[in-house]
Amino acid sequence: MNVCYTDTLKADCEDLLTRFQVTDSVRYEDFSALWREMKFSTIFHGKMGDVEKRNFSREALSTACHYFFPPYSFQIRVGALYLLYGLYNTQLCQPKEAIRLALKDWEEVEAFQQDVINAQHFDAVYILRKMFLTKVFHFTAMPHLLFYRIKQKMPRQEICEEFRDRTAKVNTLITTDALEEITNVHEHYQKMKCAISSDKTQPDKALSLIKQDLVSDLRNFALDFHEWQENRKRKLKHALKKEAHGMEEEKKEEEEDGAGEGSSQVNESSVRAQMLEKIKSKSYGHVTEAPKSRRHRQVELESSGSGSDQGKVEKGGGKRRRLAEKGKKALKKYEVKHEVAMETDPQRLSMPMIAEEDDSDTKEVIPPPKRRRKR
Amino acid sequence: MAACSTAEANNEPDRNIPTYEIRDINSNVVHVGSIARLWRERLNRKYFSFDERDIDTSTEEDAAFGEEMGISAETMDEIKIICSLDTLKCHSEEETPDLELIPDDTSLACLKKRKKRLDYREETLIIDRICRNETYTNEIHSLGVGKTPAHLEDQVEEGEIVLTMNILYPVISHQYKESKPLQTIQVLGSQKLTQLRDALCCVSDLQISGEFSNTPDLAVEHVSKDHFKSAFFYFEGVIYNDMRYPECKDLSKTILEWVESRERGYDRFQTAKMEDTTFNDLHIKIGYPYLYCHQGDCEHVVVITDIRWVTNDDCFAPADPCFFCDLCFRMLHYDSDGNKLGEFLAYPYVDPGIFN
Repeated sequence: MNVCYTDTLKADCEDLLTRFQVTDSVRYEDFSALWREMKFSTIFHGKMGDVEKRNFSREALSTACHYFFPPYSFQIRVGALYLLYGLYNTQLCQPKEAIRLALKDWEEVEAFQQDVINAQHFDAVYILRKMFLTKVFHFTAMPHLLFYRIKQKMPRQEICEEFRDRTAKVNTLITTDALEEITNVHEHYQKMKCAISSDKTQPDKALSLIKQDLVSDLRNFALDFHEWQENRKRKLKHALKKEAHGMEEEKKEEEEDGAGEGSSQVNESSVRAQMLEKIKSKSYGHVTEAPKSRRHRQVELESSGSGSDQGKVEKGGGKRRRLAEKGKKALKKYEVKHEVAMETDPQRLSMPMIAEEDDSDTKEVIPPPKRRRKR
Repeated sequence: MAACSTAEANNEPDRNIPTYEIRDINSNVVHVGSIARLWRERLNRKYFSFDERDIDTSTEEDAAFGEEMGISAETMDEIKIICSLDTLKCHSEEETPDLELIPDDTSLACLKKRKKRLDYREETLIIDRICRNETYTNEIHSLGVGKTPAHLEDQVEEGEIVLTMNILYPVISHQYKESKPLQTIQVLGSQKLTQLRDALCCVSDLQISGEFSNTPDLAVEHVSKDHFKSAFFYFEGVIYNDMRYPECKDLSKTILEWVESRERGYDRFQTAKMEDTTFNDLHIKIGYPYLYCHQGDCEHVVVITDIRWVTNDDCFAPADPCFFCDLCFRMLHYDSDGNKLGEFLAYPYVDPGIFN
């Protein structure tokens, strides 16, 4: 039976990246010190046949690659880059196993490269460039080899919450629910003040200790921030497209605009559109639980994915999952809806099974287990 | 800023970029040939060129990098030292660790697991059998790497697509119906479907039919492959028939009639010729099962597991030679002034069968 290293690789990579996260640095020097401290290159040691070595290298690179893309924070992504550099160069199989880069992920890589260049992290830029020039990457259509293994449930790599990008946390903090809560508290506070004032219709002047427009200000700040983020992304995308088409003048013009840094131009109409969208999604975003007699016709909330699949949260511990899902919902409300084809869960299929000759044990035809309906 | 608005109008992702239709199982329908184009549009030429001239030497490249980033030479040297491969060495120069030995004090989870497994193997004398198919694939992979083909015509072009596919063989015995033997094959995007068809060797092709009690020595000359030459591939609603020989029949006729006879829930199938179609022309889902049928009823499931772009030092050469005509050869390997591009050897080739 072949040994499966998915969980141990995940543990080791996260161990190294956690130590790197603690240093609060993006310097390769710091990373390589940790690499040597952990003797990470020994991960390839041990008596293994050629095929086993290759499979392990492939899996190690695939695991590390997972941390190179969103929703992970910038520092983690830089750490993942260094990790890929390390793993690629210390692997023992000949010829070396390449790092797979899928078409759909290319934009993220380009954006990342631009970010490191803008931030002048020369060591990261140098390493990334060196990897491209030494043909470390295989440019593929899809991230992994696909064998149509419906029966064999491939372990999907779960998102490590500690490494998540912090910029998304603004949106998780100021959600519709949070604002609603604050509004309720605010109104209640107003009522209390009125109750103890001489004039019952408005609170005494002496009691005005806070900003009256607290809630709307908070909402506007969050919208402004999101708008600024989106602007920045758009400008970056545009700049990259122009560079790819070799239009040097346009590129310089974009860079002078500062790639959106600090110059958040909030368009009145787009803010209004977003507010409307928020209100709509709030009303459609809430699904009432059907009574027991109608459970079989329980309405399910359609989840439209946003860009990369990496952001999908796995079934996990209850509270953590609810919080993460809440955060995701809030995030979606601020995002312009993209038309993304909805993915089908493999467990819901009833396609013919194909078993290949390998060392898998199960030889019987087992129909896919019926999933319990999710709330 | 007029250009800006058109760029924003193109904000939608290109429909030819593959994404998962079913997560970790298969992709949506993609046009194979477009994948090369999409990568070519995105990548700096240096990242994929076969041409040695495009790849500067490391010192030249480092100097260019320093200049581009506005870094002084001293800083550049510092960066080179900090980022050198020596920083990844986990043992001092004097130590030469045994690569097969796992230290007892390791902190890595992978090593602990591996050690446990190795100890268990030693104790119980168990051998972990590796899938045969993987062993063969790995052998071919290791043998082919880094080698340039002896003949110019066999050289793979830059910007080619390579498809990896699994061909599953039909089982003979009901007892073993769940484990189907499979073959992994790699083809180039520019190769025709007929080239794959010819490369596939199935035992049903070697069957001999007929009665030979009077002439037993003649039996071996009459394999089915020679008699029944028809075959077809089915990919995404199109049936590609092999019509190269006059004996070839359209095996798909029955299927087409069946689909059209009443509402089956499928769109009408189309037909095309296998010999006129290259892999670049196909629209397929990656990781999705399709069909190869020959000998009338011998069916193989075909799954395209991977599509990638060919880069330098790639590990394979095509199984069949790719012949370049004189015109193509000159266009590819020489510039307009007649200067040789890159390092290669050229041998004129005359097909010995040219007058047959």
